[in-house]
Amino acid sequence: MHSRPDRELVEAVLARRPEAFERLIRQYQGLCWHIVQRMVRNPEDARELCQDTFLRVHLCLHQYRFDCPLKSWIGRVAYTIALRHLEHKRIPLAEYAGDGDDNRTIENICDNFDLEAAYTKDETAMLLRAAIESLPPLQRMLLTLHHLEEIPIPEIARITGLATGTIKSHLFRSRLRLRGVLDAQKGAPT
Amino acid sequence: MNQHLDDIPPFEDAAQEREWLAQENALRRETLNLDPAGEDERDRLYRRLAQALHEPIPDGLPPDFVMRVVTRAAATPSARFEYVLMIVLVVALAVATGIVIATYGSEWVPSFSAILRVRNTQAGVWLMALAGCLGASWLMERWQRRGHR
Repeated sequence: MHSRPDRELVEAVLARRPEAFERLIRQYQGLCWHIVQRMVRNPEDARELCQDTFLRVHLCLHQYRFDCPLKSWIGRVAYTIALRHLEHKRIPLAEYAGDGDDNRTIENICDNFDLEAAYTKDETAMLLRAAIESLPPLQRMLLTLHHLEEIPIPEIARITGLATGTIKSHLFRSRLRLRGVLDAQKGAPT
Repeated sequence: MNQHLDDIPPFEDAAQEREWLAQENALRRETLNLDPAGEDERDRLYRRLAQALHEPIPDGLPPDFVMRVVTRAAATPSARFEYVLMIVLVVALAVATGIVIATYGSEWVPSFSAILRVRNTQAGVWLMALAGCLGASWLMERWQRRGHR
């Protein structure tokens, strides 16, 4: 389940070898930033929470049992810390991920999104970025893990503790909504 | 990227499942940079989407982030320190208990001996059972830890 570099790195950090912890941070700070920034968005808070994540990793690394990749374990720490922050701030994590209402019109797909304002920019990339930003924190983060970090769904399930079916449903609904944005811009029927 | 899709439950709605497969297929084709020839409008839109979602997010961490965390971590008492402290306290408690027993034990031991004599068989069995449970639990934990290594 675990890779040899993971074990070597963890043992080096636990043995307090020089620069081992630095190496660990450099290796996983991108993942941590993607998870935390996508969920929290506020850059100041995200930076603070990334720092808390690695301090927590430093404190609890002896509890890592090599039963999953180190990437997933650190991702889970980052996710948990970001989740607590959102709960503390009473920010809703996600929309309902049920699958009873997905065959919707573009107008419904794009709810909570200011299409008219985005149209004036007349640029698909900006339009999409704005639409991605308008997604709820959990969906934004799941899309980033799956598309940008290229993490498979079962591994995302390890990080978030969510069922694979729930993650699939969130990804599906988010991409359907984003496709609606592209459809609307092209004026094509769904 | 499709190899893990078998592990994921399908949607009950066949149209949704088809749409999902189109999304995942577009992601796979975009990741592999496959030729878009022959793709329909839906595939093109999802590939466009995959491109947008694959764009790197600007790193907002400061340049000295790593050193800042390392410095703070070094200043924080480590779990190992807490563990050593706990061991020291347990040893101190054990020594104190030994001293107390050595000092006052002569007053207690006869009363315990009396209880054990009265209910010799039953108490002995329960004590053995308790010791057995504790021992089994400890051995299981050791075995699980060894299994993880």
